[in-house]
Amino acid sequence: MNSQKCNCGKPAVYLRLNEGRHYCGLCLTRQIERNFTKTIAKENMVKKGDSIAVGVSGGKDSMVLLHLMNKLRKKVPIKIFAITIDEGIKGYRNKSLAVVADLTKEMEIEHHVFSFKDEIGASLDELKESKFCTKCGVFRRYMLNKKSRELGATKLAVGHNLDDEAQSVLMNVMRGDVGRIKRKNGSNKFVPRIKPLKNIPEKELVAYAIINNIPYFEGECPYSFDNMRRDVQTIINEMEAKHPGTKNQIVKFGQKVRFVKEPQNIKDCSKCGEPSSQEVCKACQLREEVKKS
Amino acid sequence: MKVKINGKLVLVKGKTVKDALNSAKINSETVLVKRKGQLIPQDEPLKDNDALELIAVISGG
Repeated sequence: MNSQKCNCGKPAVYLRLNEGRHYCGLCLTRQIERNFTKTIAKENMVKKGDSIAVGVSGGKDSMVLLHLMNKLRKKVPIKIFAITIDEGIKGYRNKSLAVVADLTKEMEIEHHVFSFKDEIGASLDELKESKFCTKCGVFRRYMLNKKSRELGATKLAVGHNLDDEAQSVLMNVMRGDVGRIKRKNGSNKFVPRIKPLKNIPEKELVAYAIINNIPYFEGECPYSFDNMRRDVQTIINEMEAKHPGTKNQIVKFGQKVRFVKEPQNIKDCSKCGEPSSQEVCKACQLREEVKKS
Repeated sequence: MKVKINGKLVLVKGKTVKDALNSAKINSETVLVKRKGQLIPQDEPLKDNDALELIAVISGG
């Protein structure tokens, strides 16, 4: 029996360091679900009649997101469907796809899978070069937006958590890229992206998945060893362990910067017509590189 | 105090889960810890010969 106790008197399973408060499984579950609904309400992320594409990779974030969106659709009249991008990573994506297929079947949710191979002509495994993470990220975002729009989605829900948000802010700081923090949408081809988990730490999402028996694929992408985000993640986690609340403060910094100067516009790519912050979108630039290789 | 972390014996300086993780040079932000199949908070006191199971927080791409 755990000796630390939740405020309700039950054995604690989790300590939220920045609050100095212990939580039992049930209180942590309620707290996370409240955070999810509060984030949605605060930013008007969901409206009655929305058709929401949920980007699901099979990892813990997107599986928790799908679980919570499934609960939400029982209270709010919205349609949800799952969308997965198959990058073609043998021994990784095929395994996570199976986890998504099982859960969507159990929840009776439509599941659409689109592959790099069909869209750009090559799987990630077939790209025998560097910059895997850049290419993967660009094509994944490109395809998620395009396919969601083609399937009639009014919103695209993604499983970005508080850690992801903090990492993005710090990466933009390290790249000296203020524009990326501040950009706004100016394209009607951009399916509004919602991030209902953005205020929930990654660690709490794993705890939520375990407590509520939500299956997820635990594997790590074989290409993620050499990626800036992973380095930034290590730095932030070291700071958070020493100075609890660091992740929240980094995200708050990003939110404040967003309102300081004129934001960078997103327009339509002159080649493919998809939303882009540049004249020719990154996906088209990389597609040219792929064709040449 | 000696505890097992994922089956590996670790000599712990201190009394809590976080102390055990520090002794094993594991950042407490990157894992959740179970004892006897139950999640435990990082300030939970440990006993000699406790067996801990770690769950990685970081996964995916």
